[in-house]
Amino acid sequence: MAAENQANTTLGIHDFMWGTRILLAIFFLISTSPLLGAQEEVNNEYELKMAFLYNFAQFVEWPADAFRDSAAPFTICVAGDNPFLGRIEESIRRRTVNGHAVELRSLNVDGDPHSCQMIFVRATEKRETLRVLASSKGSAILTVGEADGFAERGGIINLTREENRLRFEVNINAAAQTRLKFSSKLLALAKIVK
Amino acid sequence: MRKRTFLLLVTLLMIDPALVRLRAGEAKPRTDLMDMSLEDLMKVEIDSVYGASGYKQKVTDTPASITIITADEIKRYGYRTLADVLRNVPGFYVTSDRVYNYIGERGFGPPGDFNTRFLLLVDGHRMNADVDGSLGIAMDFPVDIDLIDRVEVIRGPNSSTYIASALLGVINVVTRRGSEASGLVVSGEMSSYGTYKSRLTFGRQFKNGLEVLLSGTYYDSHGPDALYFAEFNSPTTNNGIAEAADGSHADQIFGKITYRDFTLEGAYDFSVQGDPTASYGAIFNDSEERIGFTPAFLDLNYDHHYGGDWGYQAHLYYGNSRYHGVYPTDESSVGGPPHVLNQDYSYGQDVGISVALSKALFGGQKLILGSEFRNNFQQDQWNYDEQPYYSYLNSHQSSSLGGVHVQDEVSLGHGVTVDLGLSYDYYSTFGGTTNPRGALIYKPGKKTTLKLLYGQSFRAPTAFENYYAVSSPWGMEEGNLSLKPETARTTELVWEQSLTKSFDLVVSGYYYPVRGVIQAETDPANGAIIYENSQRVDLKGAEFTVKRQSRSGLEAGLSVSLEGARDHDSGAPLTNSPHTLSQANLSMPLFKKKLFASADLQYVSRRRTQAGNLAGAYLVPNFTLYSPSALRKWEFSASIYNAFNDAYGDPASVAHQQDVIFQNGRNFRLKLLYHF
Repeated sequence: MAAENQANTTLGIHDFMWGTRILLAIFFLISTSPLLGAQEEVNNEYELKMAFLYNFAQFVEWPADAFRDSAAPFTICVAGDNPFLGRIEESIRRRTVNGHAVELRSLNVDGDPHSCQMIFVRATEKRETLRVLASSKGSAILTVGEADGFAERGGIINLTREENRLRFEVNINAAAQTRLKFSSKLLALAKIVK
Repeated sequence: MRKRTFLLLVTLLMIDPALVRLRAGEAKPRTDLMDMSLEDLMKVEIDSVYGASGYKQKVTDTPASITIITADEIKRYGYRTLADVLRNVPGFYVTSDRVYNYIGERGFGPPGDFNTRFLLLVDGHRMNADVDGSLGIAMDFPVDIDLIDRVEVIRGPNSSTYIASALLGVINVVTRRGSEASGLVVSGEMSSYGTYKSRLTFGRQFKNGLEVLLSGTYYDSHGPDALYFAEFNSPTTNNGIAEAADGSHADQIFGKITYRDFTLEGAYDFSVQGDPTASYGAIFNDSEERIGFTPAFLDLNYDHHYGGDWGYQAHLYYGNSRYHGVYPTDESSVGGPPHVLNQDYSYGQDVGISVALSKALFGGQKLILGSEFRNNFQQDQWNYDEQPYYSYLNSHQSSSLGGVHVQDEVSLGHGVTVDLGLSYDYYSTFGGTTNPRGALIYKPGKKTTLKLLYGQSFRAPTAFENYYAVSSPWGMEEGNLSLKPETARTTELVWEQSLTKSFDLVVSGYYYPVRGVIQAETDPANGAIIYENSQRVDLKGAEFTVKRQSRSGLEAGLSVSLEGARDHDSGAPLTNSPHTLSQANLSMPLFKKKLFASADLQYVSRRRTQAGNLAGAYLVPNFTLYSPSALRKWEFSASIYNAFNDAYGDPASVAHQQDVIFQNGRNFRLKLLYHF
């Protein structure tokens, strides 16, 4: 009986072998077609987030007194587990912001945030968030978060995720309370939060 | 035929223009993200992975061979269950005996093994049943497929951070968060064989950060009106026709509450499946034969990252799993009544706690320390005849286990990373076992990753294999308390290559010797079934996968796996082990991503059956049209499965009189979803 079943199955396959071959061919011709446009894709969302941070730095103007001197680095501080260690850090260190070399460091629990030009607050840092926001008010520090509600709670920029892509929100009231100048281009791309 | 198909695929790959460009050295280097404008950055897609070592990492940085399937793919391809998802994972195939769905990987898929060689996690909670280590991957899996955010399939045992029984792989199901399910959603679907499924889900994030997700699913299927089994073709057994004997039903509840670092999550599933195959010697074409599973759990998870690169994670959990089989039996041959309902039960409960601490150290080191303790305080099995009452088995057991693991990742510079792990587990049933693992990852450039992976793993004997002993008119089984764990030592080489911006190639070769495989044997003294550590199998093979995803929303993939799974002593191929597996998928957006047309296809070469026959090769294509927003708040999908109506069958287990169990022909599904 098993042999009979076997025969039936094989027959079924033979019947449709040509169909499926054609199908496979279509699959691959379509999927490899150069006309369909290539897409940039990254496997590491923090590589992408760092690219956003670096871009934000280009659209925000810091007052001169935000730096110790003209040779002082542009410091990005990370509150929470630093996700940029390694390759991303290597690549950002090779860059400059308005003539200042970029420096990346972790913001310790008792660390002074005032030597930072930008603070990136990890989504996991719920307690840290309030402390960072409190100390950045009226200062020249750009706070960037990645947690829902970060901008509503007084953070300046918040990276949000829409499907598989990143978007950002800007709290314009919080932005106005700092001594930073924001380019209109940045605000045009942002979702505005008040 | 198999060779020709393979040649065709190879030829198609050769003419691929991207590969031609690459060989000619014209491939453009990938743009540095830092040089891109904000507008362009907002178009970049992210693909990330949790799970392989508790850390969120790039797929290519993970010290394991991984495939991720996202919610988007589940919708586009019309996957109905976890079984549909796994069918499309390179190197995997799924076998069904119309009651259970069995996962096969890399040529190892013994019929009737209840998926005990895999560890299935839902948000980090272990789903394997306490008593027999079994796993449901269809409606007996308690999380509705629509609630899944992604499935991470981690091949091999290269995941030392989870204790116990991940012999061949880890399947990590990550569910959606309350904040991702906006408001109230109602979904209804209608499929062939009188199958209906409906779901009601509520998800919300409140102002104070509290996230809630609650969902209920109702599923009912009449099943095919008639199924023909040639083995039962006799006038006394309805000429081999099982009428309306394949129905199934499931009620599922899932809930999740997240507040700050805490998540409380629970699931309950009451599922029942009719058995048209008359397994375990039951009376054929008797609608009273049914098998029920009721898995449930409650898990409190705390996940916190301190400043200064410390991370802390803890789970406190309760698990509950029931199985209840009803087997109508004819006992007239031993002087009993011609129709007796034999009731077969197992009931397991467990509580446990696990903690893991991670710390990023100087020099790019990452250290993870973890520990878990679990008490299976109830592992009961019983079996009796209902009328007249006769008890064959009444076993009350319990067991406990604990383990510690340590893992360190060191970056040596020049693109070389070494990952070393060691775990020690202690089981009250058989003692302690120590298992090392290691990974060497080399990235000579941005586009290339080479991984050399080595791991040791084990699967503990289950309470079912230890204690299930009956002596009945329908058969004898003996428990075996001297069983040792099965052990695997796996070596794998993975080459991940980004060919162009959107084109990726993965090639891997593996060698998995598995020793002391626990399998059902016949005791020569009395003919009873007894589980023994009686086999060594060698799994060897290679997998080739190409994937393309483009900004336009098009995605395509093709994988070919060549597998050589053999019995070590005899050199014979294993039962239910295909030599070649091939999977292809293609999804295209139409009308500005308002509609997606998708197809997926599985080819499984012929497999040896228990009786030494062959189950023929099959090629099954499935097509789905999916619209995420056809009419504002409506989501719609229409699918056709086994489109060419291929009559294929899977090898059966020792529980069956059949040698091959035939699967469904062409069938359909319509699904409609409304967001309030």
